[in-house]
Amino acid sequence: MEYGQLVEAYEDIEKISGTLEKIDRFASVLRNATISEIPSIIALTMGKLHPDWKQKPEIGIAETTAAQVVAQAASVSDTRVMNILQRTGDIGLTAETLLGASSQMTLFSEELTVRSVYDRLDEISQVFGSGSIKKKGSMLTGLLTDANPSEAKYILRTITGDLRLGLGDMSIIDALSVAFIGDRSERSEIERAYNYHSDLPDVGYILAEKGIEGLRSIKGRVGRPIRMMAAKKLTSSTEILEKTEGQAFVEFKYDGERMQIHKDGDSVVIFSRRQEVITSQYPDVVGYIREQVKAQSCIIEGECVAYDPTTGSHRPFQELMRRRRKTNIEETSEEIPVVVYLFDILHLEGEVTTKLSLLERRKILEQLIEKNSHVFITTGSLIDNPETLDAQFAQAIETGHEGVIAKAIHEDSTYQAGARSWLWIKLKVSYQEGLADSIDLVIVGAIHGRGKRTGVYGAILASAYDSVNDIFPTVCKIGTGFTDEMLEEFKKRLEKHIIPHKDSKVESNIEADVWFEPVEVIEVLGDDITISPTHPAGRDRLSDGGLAIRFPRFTGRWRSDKSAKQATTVADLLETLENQREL
Amino acid sequence: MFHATLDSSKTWKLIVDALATLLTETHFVITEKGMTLRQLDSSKAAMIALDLPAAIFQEYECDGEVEICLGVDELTKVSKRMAGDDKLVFTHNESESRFEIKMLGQAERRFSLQLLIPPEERTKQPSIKFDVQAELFADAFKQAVKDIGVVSTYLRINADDDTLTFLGDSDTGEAEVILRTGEESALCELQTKKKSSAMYAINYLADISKSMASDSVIIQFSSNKPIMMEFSIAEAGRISFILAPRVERR
Repeated sequence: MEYGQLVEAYEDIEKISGTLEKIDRFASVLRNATISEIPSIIALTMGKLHPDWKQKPEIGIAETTAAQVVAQAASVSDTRVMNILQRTGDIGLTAETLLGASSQMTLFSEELTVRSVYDRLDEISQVFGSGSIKKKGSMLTGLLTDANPSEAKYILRTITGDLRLGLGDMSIIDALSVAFIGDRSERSEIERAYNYHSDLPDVGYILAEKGIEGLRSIKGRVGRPIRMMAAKKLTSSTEILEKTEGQAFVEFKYDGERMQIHKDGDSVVIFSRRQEVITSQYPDVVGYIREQVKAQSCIIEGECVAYDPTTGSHRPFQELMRRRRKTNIEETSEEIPVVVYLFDILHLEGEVTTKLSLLERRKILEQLIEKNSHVFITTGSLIDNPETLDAQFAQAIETGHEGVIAKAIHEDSTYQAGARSWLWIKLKVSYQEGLADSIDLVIVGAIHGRGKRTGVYGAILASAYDSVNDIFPTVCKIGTGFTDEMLEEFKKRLEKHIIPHKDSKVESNIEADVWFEPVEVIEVLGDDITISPTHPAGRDRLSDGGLAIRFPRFTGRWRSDKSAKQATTVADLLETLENQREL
Repeated sequence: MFHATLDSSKTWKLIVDALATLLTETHFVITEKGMTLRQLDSSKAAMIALDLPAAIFQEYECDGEVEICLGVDELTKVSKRMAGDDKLVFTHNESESRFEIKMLGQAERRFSLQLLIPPEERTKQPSIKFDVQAELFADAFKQAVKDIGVVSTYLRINADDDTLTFLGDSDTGEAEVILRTGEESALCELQTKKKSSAMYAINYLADISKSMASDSVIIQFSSNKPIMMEFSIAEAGRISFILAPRVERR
C-alpha cells in the first residue's frame, strides 16, 4: 500500500468528528492492506514503532531536533520553523506549511509505501553513538524529501507519537473487528488477545492471517507482559460486599510499586504497570525470586515496598522511586532495601492460571513460595460483613498501609487482564471529607509565581486523560498547599518537559505561562467534583460545562510509576460525579 | 591486495575534507586503474563522486577489485595527525580486515583502521544532460554563495548567453551577484544551450564550496534539475558534487 493512501485516510479521519465513523474509515484502510502491511499501519497510527517492553529504540527525536529537520528539508531558518511551530503547536502542520511552499528534491526519489516508511523510521531509530543525532536528522530529512507535504505532516506526527486523529488503542481494536469480522462483534475477543499479547500491531497481523481463531489461542507467555488487572474504587464497605456477592478476600493495600514478575529458569524479568522492563532497578528482587519461587516457569504479580533496614518499617512510595533515578543500583539497593508481597499468579509451567478463581490461584501461589524475610504473600482474610471490613480497613491504616483491597472469591473471580474490574475493589485512606480517594492528574502547564514565589511556579494546571478522544483536558488549577520543597521539585522535574506552546493533546481554556509535555503525573486530593465553565473535560458528555476538581491540593506524591495515559480518566471522574449525585 | 604511496599528505587531507562534507562512512572501490567513490549523503539530496587514477600515486599496486569502507570520523582524526611533508603509504590488510595508513616523516607512524562492512548496493552516478556549463574561479563561486547566504537560505542561479546570475531573497531583503564573460572576469567560460534557472539549498552549497581545493570549478545545471560542481585534485584526480534542486510548489 502506498503511504499516500494511508495519509488520505488520516486526513479523512481527522476531519470526521464521530468515533464510529473514524473507526469505519480506518477499518477500510486495514481491509485494503496486505497481511504483511497490517503491523506497519497499526504501529505508524499508534505513533510507536515497538511496544515498550521489547526495549527496542524509538526514534528518539525531540521536538527541537524535529524542527531542525524541517528547517533543513524546507531550507529555511530554525527561527522561521520555531515561529510557525509556536503558532500552530504542531510540528506536522508546520512541516506541511513550509514544505508546501518549496521543497528539496532528491537525486533518486523513492515511492513511499507504508512498509518503506515504517522500515526507514525503524532504521533511523537504530542509529546510535557519536554524531547519531546529526545522522538521524539527515536520514529523516531524506525521508521528508521523498514525501509530499501532507505525507511529511503525518511522518512527523508519527515520530512525535501524536497523530492527532482521535483514534486510541481501543478504537484501533474496534477497527480491526470491523475490517476482518465485518462488524464490532469480536472486539472483546480482540481486546482480550491484546491484553495477553501486549502488541497491537502483531495482534492485527495474527487476526488478518489466521482469523479470530488465531487470536483465541493467545494466552500470553513468559517474557511477554500481560496487561495488569486493576481495581475499582468504592467508599462504603456495604457496597463493596454487595459487588463481591457477599464475601470477599480482603488484603492490605501496600504503598509500593506493582510488579509483574516473569520467571523462566534462572532468568527473571520484571515489568512495571506501564509494561516497562524494570529488572535492572531490582537486582535484589531478581535474586529473591530465583531462590524462593519454586517453579521452573511462571508469571506472578506482587507489590514491591521499600523498608527501613534499622526499624524494619515500611517506607513511602517516593523513597522506592529513588531507585529509578539512581545509576549505581547496587549501592541504592542497600540504601533502599525492599520486600515483595506477592498476590497473584497468571501462568505456571506454561499453563494459564488466570481462569481459576481467586482462592485457587492464591493456593497455588502459596505452595510455590518459600517465604523468608524478603518475599511474602499479602496478608488477607475472608470477610463477609461490613463491620469486619471496616475494622480491617482501620487496622490497615494504623499499621501504615494505604488501605485495603477487597477481591471477589466466587467461581467467576478470574484474573481479568487489562480490565478495571468490579472483582477487585479498593478502599483507600483519604481525608475524612471530600473526595473519597485521591486522583492522579497530568501536569500540563504552570503559571509563574509572584511575590514570595517569584522564580518558581505559582500554580499548576492539571488534566485528566480522556481515553475516548485521546486528549488531556484540564480539570483544575492547583495553587495552594505547596511547601517550598514541593515548589522547588516542580521546577526541577518540569523544566525538561517545557515546550514553547500548548501540547496538541492538551485542551485548556486557561492560558498558562509555561506549557509542558503531558508526561508527569501527580496525586491530587479534592473536595468534590463540580461542573465548571472553565474546564473542558467531559464537555461532550455533559450538557452544562466541564468537570472540575473543587479545592484541589497536591499530596506531594509523584506518580512516576504511571504514564500520562494511566492517569485518572474523564470516564472515572464522570462515574464519581454520578455517585456523588446519588448520595 | 592493495598498496599505494602518496607524496603529498596535503592532497589526502583535501580529499578527506571533501568526503566529510556529505558522508559519515566512505566506500572506496579500488581497481588497478585507480580509486573511485560514488556516494549519496543520507538525505539523498546530494552525491559525491571521487576519481583518483593510479597515476597520481607514486607507487600503486592492486590485484582485482578491493572495497574499502571506513568511518569518516576516524579518517578525519587520522588525517589531522599528518604532518605537511609526510609521505603516505596505504595498505589493505585483508586477513585482519584493516586499512593501514603509514606516515613517513621524522618518525614512521602507522595507523590501522577497522574496516566496516560495505553496503550491499553500489550507487551509480545519474546520467544527466546539462543545458548550462560554466567554468569560473572557485573563489568567485565561494564568495557568491556567501553573499547570497547573507539574506537567503537558498540560491537561485540564472544563466543566459553571457551572464551567470546568483540571486537570493527573504523577508530581510534581496542579494544578487552577476558574473559576465569577458577578459578579467572570474567567469572563464559559459556555454548556454538554453536559458536556465534553478534553485539550490545554501547549506549544501556552503559546505561543498568550502571543500573546493582547486583554482577553478566547472558548474553544470539545467532548469529545476540537479547541479554538478566539478574540480580537479592532484591534477589528474577529480571530485564532483551533484546536488538536487529545490522546487517551488506555488
